[in-house]
This record gives sequence, C-alpha cells and structure tokens, in this order.
Amino acid sequence: MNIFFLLLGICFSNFAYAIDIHHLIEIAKPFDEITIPFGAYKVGTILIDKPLTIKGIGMPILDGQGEKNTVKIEAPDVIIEGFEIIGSGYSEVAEYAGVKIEAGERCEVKNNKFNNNTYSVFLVKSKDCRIFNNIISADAKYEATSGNGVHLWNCKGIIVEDNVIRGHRDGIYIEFTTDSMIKNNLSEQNIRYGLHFMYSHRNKYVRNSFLNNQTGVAVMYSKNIEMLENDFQKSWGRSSYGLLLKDISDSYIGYNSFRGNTMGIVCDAASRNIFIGNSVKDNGWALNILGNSESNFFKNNVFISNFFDAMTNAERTTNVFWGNYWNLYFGYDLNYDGIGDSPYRPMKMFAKWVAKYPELTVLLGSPVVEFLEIAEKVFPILTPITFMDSAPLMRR
Amino acid sequence: MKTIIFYELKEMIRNKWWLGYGLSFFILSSLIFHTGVTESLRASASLLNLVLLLVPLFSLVFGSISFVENMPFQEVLLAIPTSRFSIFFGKWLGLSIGLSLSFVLGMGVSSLWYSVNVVFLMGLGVVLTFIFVSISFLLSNFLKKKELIFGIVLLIWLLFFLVYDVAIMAIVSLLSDYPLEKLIVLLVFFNPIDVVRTMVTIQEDLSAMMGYSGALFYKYFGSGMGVSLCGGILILWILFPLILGYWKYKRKDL
Repeated sequence: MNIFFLLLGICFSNFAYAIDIHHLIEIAKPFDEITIPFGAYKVGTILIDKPLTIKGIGMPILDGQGEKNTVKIEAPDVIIEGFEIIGSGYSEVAEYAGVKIEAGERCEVKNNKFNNNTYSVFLVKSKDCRIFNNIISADAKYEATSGNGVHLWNCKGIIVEDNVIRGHRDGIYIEFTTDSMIKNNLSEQNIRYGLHFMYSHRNKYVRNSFLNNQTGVAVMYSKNIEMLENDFQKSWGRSSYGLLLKDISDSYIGYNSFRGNTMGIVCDAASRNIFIGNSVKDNGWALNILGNSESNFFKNNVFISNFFDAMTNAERTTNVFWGNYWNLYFGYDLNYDGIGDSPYRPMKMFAKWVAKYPELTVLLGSPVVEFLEIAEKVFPILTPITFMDSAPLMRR
Repeated sequence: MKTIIFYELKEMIRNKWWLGYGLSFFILSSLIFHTGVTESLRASASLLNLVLLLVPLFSLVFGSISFVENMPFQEVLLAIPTSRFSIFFGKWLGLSIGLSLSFVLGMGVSSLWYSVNVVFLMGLGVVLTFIFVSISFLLSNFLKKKELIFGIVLLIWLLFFLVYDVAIMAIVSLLSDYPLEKLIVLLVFFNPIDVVRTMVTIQEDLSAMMGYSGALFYKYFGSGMGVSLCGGILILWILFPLILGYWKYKRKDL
C-alpha cells in the first residue's frame, strides 16, 4: 500500500490551495491513504470511486460552494475523517448532501464537522457503514426546503454512533433500512423529528438523547424496533410528542426517560409492543393511546407528576397495565406486598371531556375540574372501565 | 386624599391580619416551590390556584370589613371639610395597595428564595386585589346590614371561583352542537378569575397540551392583542364596580 504524505508539518492555509484534491484522488490507487493538511478547499463536488482513506489534519474545510454533493462516494471501504464539510447544494428534485454514499460497503464517516448542508450524511443502498463521532449542524427553517442530518435510504446494518446533530429537519431519518444501530447520539433542536423511522424493521436505538425537537422520535410503519435507555426531553408544543408510535408492532420500549414533553408517548395503531421500566415525568400527558392500538403491555414504568397520566378515545381497551408506579395513586396495601389493593385508573374525566368538547380548554386548571375528578374517582362512570392498572405499585 | 391613603396604609400594616395574609402566601407558595423542584408542571397549576383562591377571598372580606367597620370614623372625617371623593378613593387605594404589598412581599420573598420567576402571576394577583376590593366597596355601599354584606361577599367569591366554571361546563356540554368558542371567550371575560387563569395557562403554554383547541384561546388570551384586550377587560373590572360604588356612596345618607 502506498501512502502519500503531503505537506506534513507547518502548512499555511493559502498555500493549501495549491493542493488539487480531485487530482490526488484520480491518481491514487485503491486502498491508498490521502492526507490533506489544514486549509479551506473550494471543491465543488469530490467524487470518490475507489476504496480510499481520506484524512484531514487540523480540520480542513471542504466547501461544496452550494453546487451539488460536497463529497460523493460510490465505492466500498471509503473512510472520510477529520474534515469540516460545508455548503452542499439545494435542489427541488435531487437530495444533495455533505457526504453522499451510494452503494457503499464498510464505509466510514468519522470525526467530521458538518455545517450548513441541506442533508449532511446521506446513505443510499449501502451496507455495514459507520457514521461515528461527527458534529452535524444546520440552520433549517422550513420543513419543505430543508434536509435531514443523517439520512439512510434502503440500507442495511448501518451504525450511527456518538454524533451530535442539531438544527436539521429530522436529526436522523431512516427509510427502508434494516438491522441498524443508533447509539449514543444527541439530536436536538431539529424542526421536525429527532429520529424518524419509516418502513424500517429490526432496528435498534440505544442511549440517545433527543432534546427540544418538535417531536423526539417518530417510529412509523415498522416492526421489531428496540428502543432502550433513550432520553426524550422538552418536545413542547401544540403537536409535539416525546415518542410517536405510528403503526408499530412487536417492538420493545425499555428503560427510557420521558421528561417535559407535551405528550410523552403517543400510540397510534401501535400493537403488541412492550413498555418496561420507562420513567415518564413532568409531561403534559404521559400516555395517549388511541383506540386503534391494541394489546400493548406496560409494566414497571414510573409515572411522576404528569399533568395527565393517560388518555384514550376507546370505550374498551385490550392494552394491559400491570405493576406500574403512578404518583397520583392513593390506594392502600393491606397485605404489604407492595402492590395496591385497588386498581388505578390513569384516565382523567377532564381528559375525556376535553376530547369531546374542545371549548373546555378554558377550564384547564380550574378547581371545578379537580372537584369533579374526585367525584369521578369515587363513582367512575365516564372513564373506560377496562383502562386501568390492576396492580399499581405502592412505591417506586 | 394623600393623608387618607397613608392613614389606611398605616392602619393596614398595624393590623395583624395584614401580616397573616403575607405570611400565609409566603408559607404556602414556599411549600409549592419546594415540591415544585420535582413536580414543575403541577406546581405551576397549584400556585395559580393558590392565588386565585386566596387573593379574591381576602380582598373581598378585608375590603368589606374595613369599609363597614370604618363607617363611624368616616362620619367624623366628613364633619371636617373632606370630600367624599377623597375618602372613598383614598380608602380604596390605601387598602388595595396595602393588600397588594403584603401579597407581593409574601410571594416575592419565597419566589426569590427558590429563584422562580412568577412576576406575571404576581402582577395579575395585584390586579385581582384591586378588582375585588372594588367589588367589596360596591357591595358594602349597596347593602345595609353587616351580616348580609359578609354573607353576600362570600357568595360572590363562591360564584366567581366555583359556580361560574360549573355553569360554563354545563353550557358547553348542553349546547355542544353549536359553535361555542366565541361565546365561551365572552363568558370568560365576565369573570375576572377566569380571565386571569386563562391568561396564565396560555402564557405558560399549558394550553399546548390541549392541541389545536387551545389555538383559538391563544388568540384571545395569549397574543399581544389578546393580552392587551384582557388587560382592558381587567381594568374595566376595577373601574366599573368602583365607580358604581362611589355613585351610591355619594348619594348615601350617612
């Protein structure tokens, strides 16, 4: 393997203009390593069509000058490392990205910075690639004219790890992609979703943080998704949710934390999912389970100081709650087994009424509502009877 | 008039109830702030309800007691050349400022202690104080018997605090087939407690929980226009009972 060492040592940025990256890539042989010194390179589009490792030293800037893709990879085993990649183009018909990988295998995009790209990292029909430790930011204003931080389309086995993504449309967008792992990322201030799944089965996301997104995570039309130990925070607004499950089945939602969202978890046609050990705190609504969601199972979750614990629009439900902790539960435990002897009904009467008569919004926080809640607790007639936790925990 | 205001203020501060009022706000709001460290959303609702419960109740009872008990002194004052105008408004200002001071001190100290920003709520609390002192003056001038005044005062408080909302609920559920939003907004304007509550829930964006139904109410209570409209309504709520009360007071045979 030949190695090009170019201009190691002291480099001046204006001197760096002399380096023609296009030419270097052209003359390089497969599996070469190219090292680029610090500098600002107005490159237009860099096309990489053979396996190469391209390394930046001191964060050289690759500027796409708003034309098309800044870096386009059409080969396996390409590694891009240590660049600041800016200025991908915007188009109504094509999706231009900071780094676009088409049909790549085992490619790596790591330790880069992305700024002001329409899409930052865009993977098409790729396999076993790794997007690692990048700082990705953009300044998205409108959903229609902006792109996603990391976009996976028709991929398999991608690992997205330790990235910081902010200010895009969707932080991470995954479509027709299977067997991926999304891990330890921070996705914040995106104008739509922090993480968005469409038709993507058997994926896993673990220990990510989703802060201040319009909606934390939207999982749509997918099966077998594992969602573990994530942090969903501060998605607050008129149609904001922590976690939106739309047509999701056979998935596992465990040990996540939901804090300060308008709605913590929304289930729309989500069935046969298991929710275990989640902590749902300080949300407007902890759960909104629409009538078309069936046979979900909630166990050992902790619900603390939510304005409303749950909402459903169904008269009967097949969702099962068992052994959750609800801080608004004031039952008794005569045999000291830690399980309350009377069931807890998380659905408030006012919740049901507001759904039916939206004008009642003005009574939000009125003492009348509290009095009626107490009456409803004693004689439940309005809230669905089967919607309850039959074994609420006495303490966390 | 200045003398009367200062006299009222001094009288107020010497009164042990003034201290009790402030202290009760200090203690109760501290309790809420203390638990609020872990339960922020519910805490803000409780704090709001605390203000909406105590401020009107105290202002009404204080105002009417002070006005009625003070009657003999007013007669003495009128014997020397003092206008009824300066007595009435001096008393009203002195009382309202005194009560507001106690409220702001009680809540302000505890909010500084826990460093929570409740300026908006405190401002509205002060406005509520002025409104309900006005209403108490109106009642004490139109009714003769002392017992009757206190009874009606409590009834008025119950009406504004509780019964009114029950009525709104009943109207909404009975007439749900009709477009009711504007009617409800109008109804809310006729109850100062509801105006304040809706303004605060919208300001703190609690109404976002209610999805798009909150949007209309945001227009009337949350936007710049809406807030100034509400401000105007609240000022009317101060002036209308006050002027009506003074009109009666002027014609009253003391």
